[in-house]
Parts: sequence; C-alpha cells; structure tokens
Amino acid sequence: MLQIDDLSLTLAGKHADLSILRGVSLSVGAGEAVGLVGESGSGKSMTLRSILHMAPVNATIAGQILLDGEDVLGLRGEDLRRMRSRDVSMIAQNPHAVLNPVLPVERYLVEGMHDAQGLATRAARVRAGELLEQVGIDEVDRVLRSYPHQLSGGMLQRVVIAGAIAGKPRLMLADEPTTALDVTTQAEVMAILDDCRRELGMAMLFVTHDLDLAAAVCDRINVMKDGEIVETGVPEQLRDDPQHPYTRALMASRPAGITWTSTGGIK
Amino acid sequence: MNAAAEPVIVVDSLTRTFHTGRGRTVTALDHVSVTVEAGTCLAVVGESGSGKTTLARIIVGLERADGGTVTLAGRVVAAKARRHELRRRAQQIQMVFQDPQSSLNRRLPVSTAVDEVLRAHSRLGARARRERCAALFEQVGLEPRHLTARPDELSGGQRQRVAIARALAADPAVIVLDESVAALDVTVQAQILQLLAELRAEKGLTYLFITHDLSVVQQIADHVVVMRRGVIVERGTTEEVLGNPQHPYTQLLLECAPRPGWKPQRGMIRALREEIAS
Repeated sequence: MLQIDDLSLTLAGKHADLSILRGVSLSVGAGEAVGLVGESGSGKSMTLRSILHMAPVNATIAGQILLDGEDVLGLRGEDLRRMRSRDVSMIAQNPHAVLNPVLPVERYLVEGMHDAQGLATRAARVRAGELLEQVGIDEVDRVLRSYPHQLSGGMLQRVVIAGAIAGKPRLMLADEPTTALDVTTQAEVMAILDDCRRELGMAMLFVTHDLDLAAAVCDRINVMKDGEIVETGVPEQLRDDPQHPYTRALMASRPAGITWTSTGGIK
Repeated sequence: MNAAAEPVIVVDSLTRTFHTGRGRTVTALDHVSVTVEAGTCLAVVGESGSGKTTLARIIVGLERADGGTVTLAGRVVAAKARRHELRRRAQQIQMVFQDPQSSLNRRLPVSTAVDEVLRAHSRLGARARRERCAALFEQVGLEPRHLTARPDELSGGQRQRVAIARALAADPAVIVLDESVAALDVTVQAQILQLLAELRAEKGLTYLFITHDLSVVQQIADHVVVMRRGVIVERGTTEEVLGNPQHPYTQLLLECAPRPGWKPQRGMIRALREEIAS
C-alpha cells in the first residue's frame, strides 16, 4: 500500500550539503503495522515527514513514494490536501503542538471531521463522543469541554488518536507518539492505539527509538542508522537472530536477562 | 565494623509541599525516609509527579524541605541551607542532571565547567588545575581534544561525560544522578552506565540514582525505592523489588516496561490501577 523506493534527502547547508536519507526503501502492506526504529539523527522522523511533504524547505528529495500506486511526492494543491486529511493521519510526539491551546478539544475533533469528511457539526459532535469512548476515555463530556492545558499528556494523546482514526484513513503515521509520556501511560496509549488500528484495519508506520516497543505492536520492523535502513525483519527474527552489527548493539544495550516477566512476578 | 554498612545519606521523614496557586497545594514529599549506605547505589523510581526529583534536590541543597532532616556522613544539614553550608555540602555531594546542554555554558570550552569546580573546591594553581582537568577527562573517557570543545561540538553522551567529570572534580563521596541517562540513545546509555559502574568501583562512590526506567535500575542499582505521589510505596534490594514486587504500583510499573516479547495489556493495566486506587 505504501511503497518507498530509494528515497534520498539532502539538506542544503551553509558550507556543505548534509545527507540525511540515503536510499531508503520500505513498504507497508494494507492493514500492516511496520516499525521504523533508530536512534536520534538516524533519519526515521525525516522519512515519515517526507510522506506528508513536511520536510524542511531547504531539503532536496529524490526517489519515489507511492500510496496505493499514487505518486505522493508529486501531489500538489487539492490532491495533497486530500491525501493529508483523508488518506493518511499523523500522531506526533507532542500533542500540545497539534491541539489549539485556546479551543476546547471538542472543536479540534469536530473541525477535523468537518473538513475531512464533510460531517455536519451536530453529527460530528456525536461522533467525537463515540471516538473518545473508543480510545478508552471515561468522562467523555468533561474531556470534550476541556482545554488542552487542563488535560494530562496521556489524555491529550488519546484525543489526538481519536482525531487520527476519525476518518478511518488507510494509513496512520506515528512519530514517537508515547515518548513524552510516563511508562504506565505509554503502555496504555500504545495498547489503545494498537486496538483501534486493528479494529479499523488501518496500516501504520511507527517511528520509535524503542525496539521493544516497536516489536510489541508491529508486524515488521526496519532498523535505521545514519540515513539508511540496515536491517528489516519480523520482531522475533530481529530479537533472536539479528544480522546487522548495529541491530545487535541495540539489542545488547537493553538487558535481556531481566528477572521479571509479564507472568512471573505478577499474578 | 563493616565500612560498607555505614550510611552516607540518611533522610528522615522529609516533607515538602508546593503551592500551585489559587490556594491549592501539592504534597511532593510526604514523610519520606531513605538510607543510602556507603559505596552502594540506591535507585529512586517513579513517574512524573512522584516527588523523586524534589527528594534529590533537597538532599543536594537546591530545594528546601518543610520538615524532616537530611544527614550527610553523620552531620545533619539544615533544611534551608546557607551559603557556606552549601559549599561544604557540594564537596561531599555532587549532582548530574538529565540535560548537560542546559548546565554547560555554550559559549565556553567545556573544560571551563570542570575548572570552576576545581577553583572552588581545591587549592590547586592554574597549571595543576589544567593537569587535573585533563586527568578527569581521561577518567571519563574523553580525549584531550575535547577539553577545548564547545558543548555544541560534542554529542549528548560526550556532554554527559563532561558533566560527570565536573561532578568528580569536587572529589565527592556521593553523586546524585537525576535521570542522567534518560535523554541518551540506548547504545550511549549503556556506555554511560558502564562508566558510572567503573567509577563507583574505583572510587568507592555512593550513588543516588533518580530514574523512571526500570532497565536502568536493573543495570546499576543495589537497592530501590519506588515512589508514587510523594510517598514511598515499596523498598528493597533490586532483586527483591524487580523480581518479586509486592505493591500493585510496582507491579504496574513492571508490567508496563517494554522488554523483549512484551505486549501492553489494557485489561491488566486497568486491573492494577483499580487495585492501587482501592
């Protein structure tokens, strides 16, 4: 469904050009969850942003991105708007950067549905409530009336997820969506994100620095380093038989011989 | 007498309340007591709002307490520290923060930060300080060329090494590490934790390690206290707490920590949260 072929991205610098992506190729099948794992500066976020035409203005991009056969990099005007609002949704690390601080969160959801799906305001309001229930929010009415600063990061990220699944887009792009959250909130938000995605049959490209987190929700994982994908595989394969030295280094830097297991110490 | 069993830090019934405006208050610490023995590493684990950073800041003297006492190497330090007392305390106890970018002056060579500490806490002359600086850099795995580098020219891991060198410059008995590897990539994290372990063994340092990350705890700590909303809910050796957690909140933290083969379980998280609330 999503096919990235030989994507290269170069930033024009004052003194020299900076090569950020070097021949990145990856694919995401319909309904498939694919991870893009790497450390800071690896180019994982830039890959994601290239899909939405969100690369910096001084970037030169080569290669091809196809979404169901359509050339994404060539999209302009109304076609680009349609792709961004209906075909693809995005969940970023910081929900505060997404939500308008002076509007209640209901407006964020209602306006999004109004724009993308042409839903009338009243219908969109009802739908906003349903969506919040879907992302595990109990006090729906209170949350809908709240302003972003009145809600916790985990709650806000759920609101963003609600907005991202509202139009049932084919592809969800998630860029470190839980990195700013506490670990217990992260687990909850990840579980919700995973449930929603599966229920709706959406595909996902999930960018994270955490290999274990990616393995928990992805069918396949691409490991990225210095602008290149160094290894691709299913999670078990990367865990048990990593091929690239960098993947091995990533695996080794987290202690695997942890004494506790999900079923061991706990119930 | 066993020297290792001597407590270096004794925190007794520490309390701190913050006023958040409109007459509302938050109790960051609610009668918290902690003991750290010489040469050991105690990890203080908790999520945001647990009070773990407030505890660290009171111990080093960056924050005052409303009640309770802090005893460092047998001497009770004032709840509200005066300047000369802070200076003495800084010789015993140093702190390494999460983000060295914000604690290093970006316009000066990074060795200046180390030199400042040497000037304050030693009687060395300029030349001796330069030599000591170079030796400290070597000790933390930095090269001589890094002495003159600006913070921007170093990687996050290298900057954190500078912060560790600066802490060592005062020749302290205790280092408080506040999320000191949280901002680093995992491969760099492992290297810094390795360095900290080596320095501890070499110099017999005592660590108080504030962290949210159980994998960090597992890699470096001898003892753990788990904090939630200003209260210690569980304490014990790392093996006890991670291997056989008793409090539902500790169980929740363990359940939620990503690890190989892990999947987040909505039902389990909900059940544990209800148990904590009851």
